[in-house]
Amino acid sequence: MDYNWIETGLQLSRPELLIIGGTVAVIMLSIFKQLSRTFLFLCSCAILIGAGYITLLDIQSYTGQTILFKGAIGYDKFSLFFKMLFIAIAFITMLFSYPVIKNWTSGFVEFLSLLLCCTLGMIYMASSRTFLMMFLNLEFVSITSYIMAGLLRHNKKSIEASLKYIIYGAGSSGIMLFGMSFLYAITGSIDVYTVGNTLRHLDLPNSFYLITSILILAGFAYKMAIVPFHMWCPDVYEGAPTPVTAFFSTGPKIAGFAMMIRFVDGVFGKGSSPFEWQLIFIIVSVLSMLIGNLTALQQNNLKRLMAYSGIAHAGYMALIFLTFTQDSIGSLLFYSVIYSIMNLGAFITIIILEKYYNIDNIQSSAGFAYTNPFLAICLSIFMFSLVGLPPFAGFFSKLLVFMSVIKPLNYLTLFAILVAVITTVISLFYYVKIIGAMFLKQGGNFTITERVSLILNAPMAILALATVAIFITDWDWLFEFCKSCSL
Amino acid sequence: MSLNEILLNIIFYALALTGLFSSFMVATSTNMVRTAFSLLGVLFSFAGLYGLLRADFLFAAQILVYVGGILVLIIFAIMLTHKIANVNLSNESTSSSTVIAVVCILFAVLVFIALTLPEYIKINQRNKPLTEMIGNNLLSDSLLPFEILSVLLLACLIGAVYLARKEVKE
Repeated sequence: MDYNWIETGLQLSRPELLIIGGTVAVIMLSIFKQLSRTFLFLCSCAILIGAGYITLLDIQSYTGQTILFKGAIGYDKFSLFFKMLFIAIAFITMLFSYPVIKNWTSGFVEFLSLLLCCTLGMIYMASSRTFLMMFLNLEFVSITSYIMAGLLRHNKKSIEASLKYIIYGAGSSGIMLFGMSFLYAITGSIDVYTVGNTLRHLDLPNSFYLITSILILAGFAYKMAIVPFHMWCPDVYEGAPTPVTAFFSTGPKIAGFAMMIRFVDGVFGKGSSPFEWQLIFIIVSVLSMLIGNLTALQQNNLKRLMAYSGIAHAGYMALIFLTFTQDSIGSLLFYSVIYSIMNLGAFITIIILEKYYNIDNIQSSAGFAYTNPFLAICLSIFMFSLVGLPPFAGFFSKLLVFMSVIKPLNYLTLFAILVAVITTVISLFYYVKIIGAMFLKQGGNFTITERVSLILNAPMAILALATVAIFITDWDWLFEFCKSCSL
Repeated sequence: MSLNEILLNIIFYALALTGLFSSFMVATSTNMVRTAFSLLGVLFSFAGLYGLLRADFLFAAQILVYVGGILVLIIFAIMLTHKIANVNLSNESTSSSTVIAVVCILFAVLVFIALTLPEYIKINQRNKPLTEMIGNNLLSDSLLPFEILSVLLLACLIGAVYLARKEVKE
């Protein structure tokens, strides 16, 4: 028997092995009471830095496509790109969550180890090539997310968030599995590329494609938080601990997109396909943009507002499935990098507001800019960037997605772009509402119990700087890099 | 139709009807004890269907895990809970019109699939026991999913212990 494939596979998955080993090590070390929480935190950070460094070395030198573990995962620039992105997201999340979680009576080690596990699941989600791996890793990310949402187990809202997440998640992944079972029954394979090739040679009715696509989309769309599978989003975002919410709004959402791209690429292929699946995506993304932005207008709670903003952004990202060329995938990768920067930054400001000033809604933040102008300015940068206004990075990410969609101009893409532009204008209202409340209104006194930790201020400043710097400096290299990593 | 096929048909319809009836009971009954015991019928009849389809491993797993493990736990939990038989349900039914609409759409989809799909499905006749194939597969083609599953179980274990244990006062 030939076991070389195991050896090759293990050699190329060193970051994953490091994360697995590190997770176990962190749990083991937590048994010793002498070791302080800071030490465990630094260990977890070191694991992520190490894994990120290895991935960085790989991504610079590697070009080509390899299939590892008998077709289970694809090792290419696409998966390496997402590996890098997810490790970065997890690292930033871990960094700014430390001031919050270090005071918890319990759940500190659980948070660290589950965050590491969830990162592993997201990495594998982006590189899965078979239905089995896709389902398994979707569940991996979901199950760790359920636990993380309920980490504040004496808080009713946290437990409610966890339970709602479980019920929606179980339902939608069951539906997805049902859809996948049809594809398997007809093609006899679980590898997405083999399934795609076999389907192209069969003459199946279009209604079959329609039904299976909708069924399978249920699972993916639930992770991406796209309408009509978005109902869990506001409640879970509100109830979960804020660092966890920040993580949910970036990591698992982008992982869902990465998996969806590989799935669509395998089963339907780029460009022409036996079935007009673009129609489904038009409906889904237009609905997400409309419902996300219009509902966000009425929100007062900051975390709920960010949840609806996240739904709207998922709608913009889903636009790329209308054309699905190499360029549009590249623009999605670019969008996901910028989106993570803006969203994580916005959530750091929300964490500071919540932790030090006890502010969790727009009304009570009135006049806040006079107390802590630095934070208010950073928040404004993130908000303007989320709208997509010119002096910030969010402008380019939206522009590139819209441009890549509009290329084969027809009524459908024109309609989708029109809705996207109109909803972008609508989104200006609610993002600016926060800034307006802080700068223009008079408010009460904000007392602060302790100085804002550097570990919160520094990442916030760096992310805000990055949002501006990407616009001012030559951002072309980043986009070219994203394009070269596209499938 | 041979005697063998007639017998298989009878068994199939008996199992299917039991499953349908018990799942209807699970969905409609407001008495927790009855619901739990109806669930027993659902799980048993599905195990029987797996057996009919020659999925021997799934049949055994269904009996061992669901009937033998999870369901017994559920029944124990119900029996040990005080006065659970006459608990007041606050939400007896949610907006039934939408539910009926969704169920009808799903049913139409299922009927459509059941009518159109079978002609495309390739059936592989298999005479070897399934367990051997699964065992080989777990250590070759599905090695990575199998290993990831163990990490997932670790995460589940951490979560379960964390949610269930008492708060440690320091």
